Parts: sequence; structure tokens; C-alpha cells
Amino acid sequence: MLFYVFSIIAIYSALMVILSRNPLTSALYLVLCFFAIAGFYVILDMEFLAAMQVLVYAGAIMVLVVLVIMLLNLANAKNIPKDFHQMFIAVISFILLFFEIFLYAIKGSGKVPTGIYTTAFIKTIGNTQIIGEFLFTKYIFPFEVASILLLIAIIGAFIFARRKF
Amino acid sequence: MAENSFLPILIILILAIVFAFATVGLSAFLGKNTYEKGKLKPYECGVEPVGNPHIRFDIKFYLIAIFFLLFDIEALFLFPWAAVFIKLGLFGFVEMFLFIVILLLGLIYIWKKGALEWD
Repeated sequence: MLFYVFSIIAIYSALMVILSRNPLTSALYLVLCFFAIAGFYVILDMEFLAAMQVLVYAGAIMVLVVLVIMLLNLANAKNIPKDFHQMFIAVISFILLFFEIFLYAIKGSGKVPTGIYTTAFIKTIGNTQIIGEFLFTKYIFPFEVASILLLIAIIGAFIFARRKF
Repeated sequence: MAENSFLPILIILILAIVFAFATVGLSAFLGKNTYEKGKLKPYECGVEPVGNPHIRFDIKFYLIAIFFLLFDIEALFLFPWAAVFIKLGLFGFVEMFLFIVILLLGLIYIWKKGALEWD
């Protein structure tokens, strides 16, 4: 039941993101969409991902999105002419993505999860603990690379935004 | 279906939504509706508003926001690490030490370059 509630919220808010005229309204609907997706994570027993979804996406990333809207100064956005190429690319990517999701939904409907990490097993240890265990043993290299990626992002953001070159 | 510890969060979420709708709805229902042109003006300390409200914001706000995002991501890696810290032992400590040191280099860089100064 909860699944359908979150689905309706997610689909409605995602539609409103692209349908509302005011970009800030779209941004707020995007926050609602992120919350609905966090709800899906909770239903799937991924509490850690749900918390991170709210903290990072609904919190930090939305701050960036809103700031970009303010930086772009969209007061005269209505005067921007409609671009035919954009529409073309949007339609093509929509068809491809929809086909992909459709295919997965058809093929994956009869499948059951395999492997030792079943939902019951994860529940005995804890979602965060499992992620931590894997992240800091098996996937240690990607984890350390992530720090270098973040370092590059820090320096890159500073260089792009600085006044004097 | 999540019947576990997340039920209180769901209840508080529903309460928040109900409260928000109830306050706005009640004030619309009970309050007096008067329409005046002056009510639609943005409030500017009683002075007549001047200029366009859509001004271009300084890039510095964006820079602060992006630094917040990056160090936020750094902090979130600490949660799963802290949850399994005992199990990982010294190895985990060294891992996280390296991670923090690499990001500390970035912090020192932007600090020395004056990106955290407002002027």
C-alpha cells in the first residue's frame, strides 16, 4: 500500500517538475520527488540509502539547484525561443529510457534475488554495517579514489568561480 | 513493507503534512478575504519597492554551497565507517585517515587561496 502512495507522490512531483512554469516551483517539487524516492529505499530495507537520499539530494544538491536558478537570473526566461533540437533529443531519450524500463519490468518480474545477502540476513547485521564492511574492505580502492574526485571538485569549483584569472 | 523503526518518521511526516494543510486551510476558511493591490507588493521595510527583484546573485554564494556539498559527502562516508570501525581496526583507521588527509589538502588549498574570505 505504501508503495503506491510513494509511487503516486513520485510520479506526480516528477511531472510537476517539468510542467511548472516557475523554476523554483520545479525545484521544490524535485525535493518532494527525492523524499518519495527515499520512501522507496525504506520500503526496500535500505535505511542508510534513504537517510543519505534525504541528506545529500534533498539537502545539499537542492541547495545547488536553487542557487543555479538564482544565478541564471530567469526573470526573462519566457523570451527564450523554443529549441527544436532540444525537443528532438528529449523525445528520443524518452523513448529509449521508457523502452529500457519496460524491458526490465517485463524480464525482471519473475526473478528472485540470489546470493547470501538476503533481506533477512541484512536485517540481522544492519544495513549501514553491511555497506561499511564492503566499502572499507572490498571496495577500498574506489573509496579512496572518491576522495581524489572530491579534491578535484573542490579545486575545480574554486578555479571556475574565482574572479581574477 | 517497513513496519520497523521507521514508523515514527512516517507518522511525523503525516503530522507535518496535515499541520501544514490545516493551518493554511483554516486561515483561508476563517480569515477575512480582502483583495487590494498593495497586498501583492513585496515588503521592503515600508519603503516603495525599487527595481527588479530578480537580481543576479554573486558567484560566492554558489562557491560556498558547492564546498558545503563536497564536505557533506565527505562527512556521510564517516557514518558507515563509524558503524564498522571496531571490526575494521587499525586498517580502517588508516583508510579513513588517508581519505580525510586528501580532502584536507583541498580545504587547506581553498583556505590559503582565500576562497573562504568574503571579500
